[in-house]
Amino acid sequence: MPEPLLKVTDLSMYYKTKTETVRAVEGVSFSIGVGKTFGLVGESGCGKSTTARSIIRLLPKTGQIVGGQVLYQGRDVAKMSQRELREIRGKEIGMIFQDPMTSLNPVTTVGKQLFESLEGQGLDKQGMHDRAVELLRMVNIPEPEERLGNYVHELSGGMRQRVMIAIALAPRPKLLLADEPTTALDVTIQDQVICLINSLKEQLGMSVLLVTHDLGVVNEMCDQVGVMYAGRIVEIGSRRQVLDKPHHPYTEGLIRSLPAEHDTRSRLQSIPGMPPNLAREIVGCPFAPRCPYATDICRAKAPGVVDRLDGHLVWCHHADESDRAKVTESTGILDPREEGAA
Amino acid sequence: MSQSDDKGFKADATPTPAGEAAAELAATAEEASQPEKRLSPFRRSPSLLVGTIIVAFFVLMALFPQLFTSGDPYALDGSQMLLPPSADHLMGTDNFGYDIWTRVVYATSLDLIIGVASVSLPFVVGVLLGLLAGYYGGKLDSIIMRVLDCFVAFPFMVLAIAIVAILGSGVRNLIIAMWVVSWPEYTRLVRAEVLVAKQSEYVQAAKTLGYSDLRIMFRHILPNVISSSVVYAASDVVMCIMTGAGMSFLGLGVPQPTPEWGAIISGGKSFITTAPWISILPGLMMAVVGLGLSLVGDGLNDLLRTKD
Amino acid sequence: MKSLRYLLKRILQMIPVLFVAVVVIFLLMRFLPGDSALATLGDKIDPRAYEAIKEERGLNASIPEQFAIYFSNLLQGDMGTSVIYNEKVSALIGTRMVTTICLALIATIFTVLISLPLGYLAGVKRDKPADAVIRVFALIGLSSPAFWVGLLLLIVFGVQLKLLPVSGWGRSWPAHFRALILPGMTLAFSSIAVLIRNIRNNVIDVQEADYVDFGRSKGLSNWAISTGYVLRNALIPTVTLLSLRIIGMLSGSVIIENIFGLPGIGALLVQAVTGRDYAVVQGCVIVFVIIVLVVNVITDFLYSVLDHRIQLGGDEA
Repeated sequence: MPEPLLKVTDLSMYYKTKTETVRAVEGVSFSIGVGKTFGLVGESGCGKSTTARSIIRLLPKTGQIVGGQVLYQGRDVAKMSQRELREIRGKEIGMIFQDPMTSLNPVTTVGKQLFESLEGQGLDKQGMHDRAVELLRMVNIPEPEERLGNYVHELSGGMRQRVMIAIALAPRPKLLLADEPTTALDVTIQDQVICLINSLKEQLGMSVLLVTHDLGVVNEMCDQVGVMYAGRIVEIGSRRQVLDKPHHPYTEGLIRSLPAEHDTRSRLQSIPGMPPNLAREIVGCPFAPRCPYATDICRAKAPGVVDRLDGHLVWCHHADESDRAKVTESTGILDPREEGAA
Repeated sequence: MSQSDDKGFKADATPTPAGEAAAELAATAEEASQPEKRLSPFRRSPSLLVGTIIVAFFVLMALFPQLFTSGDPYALDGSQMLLPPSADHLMGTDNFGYDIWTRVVYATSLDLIIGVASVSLPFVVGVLLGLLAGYYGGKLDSIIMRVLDCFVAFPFMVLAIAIVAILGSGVRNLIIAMWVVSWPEYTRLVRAEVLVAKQSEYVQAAKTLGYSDLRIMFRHILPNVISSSVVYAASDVVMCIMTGAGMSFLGLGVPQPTPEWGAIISGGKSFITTAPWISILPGLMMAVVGLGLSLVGDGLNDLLRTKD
Repeated sequence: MKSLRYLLKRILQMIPVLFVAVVVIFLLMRFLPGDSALATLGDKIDPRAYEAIKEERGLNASIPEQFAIYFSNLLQGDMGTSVIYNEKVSALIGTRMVTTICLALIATIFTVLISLPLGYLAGVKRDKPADAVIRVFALIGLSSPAFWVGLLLLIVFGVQLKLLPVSGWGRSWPAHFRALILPGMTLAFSSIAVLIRNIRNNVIDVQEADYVDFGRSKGLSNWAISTGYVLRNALIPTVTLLSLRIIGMLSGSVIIENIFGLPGIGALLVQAVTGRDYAVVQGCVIVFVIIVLVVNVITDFLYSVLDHRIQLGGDEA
């Protein structure tokens, strides 16, 4: 098996203030191979964006990596000096953000922000200009020459997202962290951006870490998927494994809350309850309070990992379906899947 | 929404389901404007606590100067000229033999009155004009704002001096001059916030219900837009005290020998090499008053603005 | 081109305000208790001398006529004659204006040079000791009366350390500059405090902006982030505040010029008021108004340069 481009092992990131510690990311491990797309899915506040930001240590002052490794090409980002970190940021690992309306500097032109990302590539002025135009053309921006002189407020939301992608890709990073890249966009624009990232990935041989709450986007983009809940990964595997045969009740819930394409009659089911408060210590499985299969062991002991098949990992006491059926019988709770079918 | 539209709504304000919902919204807006009493404001803002203590101390001094000094502010003692601070004369004496501490204590009431009186009328008038300009817009707004433009074209001190030049010096005329220069800031602050509040749901709801303009302005808008003016007023009191003292310092404010901080400090100007205490110590007192009021302003800002 | 047209437009917009200000000042001076003719004569009132002066100054004409004469003179740069100096008001103001403008300018430079790094530092080091110290300093600056600060500086630097001149304007430009340091600091004192607080809060807001994170994710240096991203954005609201403070400094200059014996229009104004030299009062006030309007135009212009979201020539309030 070839060495992965990025290997995150047992990463923990806490927000520490005087009064409390929020365990935003707890023991997260995953890896991304060269040219692959890895998706991190979960509800908002589950720590998926924080995980992505931890990879380049783009954290607020209160945020600290308290444990684990982030190996990028074998070097631990968590231990790098500020200087080494700057060498990695942008040039090796680029990032795009959720809200294109607020993520570009309002006081300088599109061109200047592109040039900033092109510095250090040994280009002269003309070279930079040409490359900037080429980049804008690559992300399908019409009249790229003129756009260079535009200020951000002169562009539409979709355009800004493309500009942001162009800026992030300008130094030719090997890994792109995409934090909810489509969430703030109109549906039609969303598809365009997904196609764009997919084709650029192919073109440039880049790897992508996609952070999203949208399983539809995962389905269109990812090779591997990790499902996060309360700062931990609860299920991880290939896209087919996780989306077609989910084993964690939380993943099941997420999938069930999607509007089904074929079945227009079934109603949408959201997962009842709220995610736990991460400022408090969690005993047992964090999903237990919302889980229809939860038993005493779930409330008492954190689940260990179960390897279902070929690296499809699940953190659940009842990952085994036959086991789960028994629980359902004994507690008298209807299996939600049956209910949905009824 | 234009003026005529509002009138139309008012004419046929029959209760409809939408209208009831609007009534609820309008009611919540009225409730929301009630001050909430959960934590004591002093607990939530230490600046307010410290500031209030300082200000309270000076109010006490203004009301009962006898508690702080046994002297007479007008008592001249030719044998006690230009003495440095000592147990007998806490802040020393000046070139006439006045006890400076006694004069500073007795000046407190006058200076605080100048500060508060200078702010109160402009506060009321400025807020009202801002409310009218922002709420009605159109011609009234342009008239008020053009007048305001002319007032703010003068540096306030220059305008104040020009007014004192016309009316003559003295406490009353000083306060009148401050009235003339202070109102525009309140109008600007309130108008800007009314323009925003006018678009809000609760005001639209109140309009749909056909409430009168007066009721909307005073019960729905005013409580929601006044906070920045209140915060500004605290700092404005400091500024008015300082401007007033500055005018007296220039000899255009309170006439001698009435005890007034600016005048006392001004009196020491010629003696800064030989008797610097005449100017320094009373100035320190002023700075402490200013500090207290600034802290109150900061505290009010913490309390009133963090809500949104 | 666009900005030039905008500038022209703003200058044209100034004219009505200036005109109204001139009318107001003219009328105020005419409604004075006791007129300037009386003031000139002082206590010894000789009715014939009084009439002669009134005749000479055109005080017997109707008010609109007087205004017409005054205004046409004003347009030719003639603001009347000082009764104290017995000199043309325009000549008196001309030289003194330079002093006042230099004072305001140097105070502005002090304000920017000191408040910018301190405000930025306080914002970046939010809630750290450095921030606390700077905030206390700002609070003291806000609370201290300017004339008192001026006297303190005078005692410390002028009298005790003998580093800088205590009073006067000097005869050469280097001497002028030295003479302006203490008054400039005094004038800047409270503005520094106000600006520090403003810049600090803006920096705190901007630091949390997404575009700053995006800039960092690009691997930009701290310097590039602080200047091009944080400061550039944080300073936009500060420009408006600074212009208000400069106008405030013009007010302050009236007092400061008196403390430091600087021959500026502020000092002239106070002398004129005490001496009832109304032509000079009128002239000084008009010049102050002109300076304010010019500062406003410059600020608007600077604002539109800093922030391109503000459309040049836009009429929005």
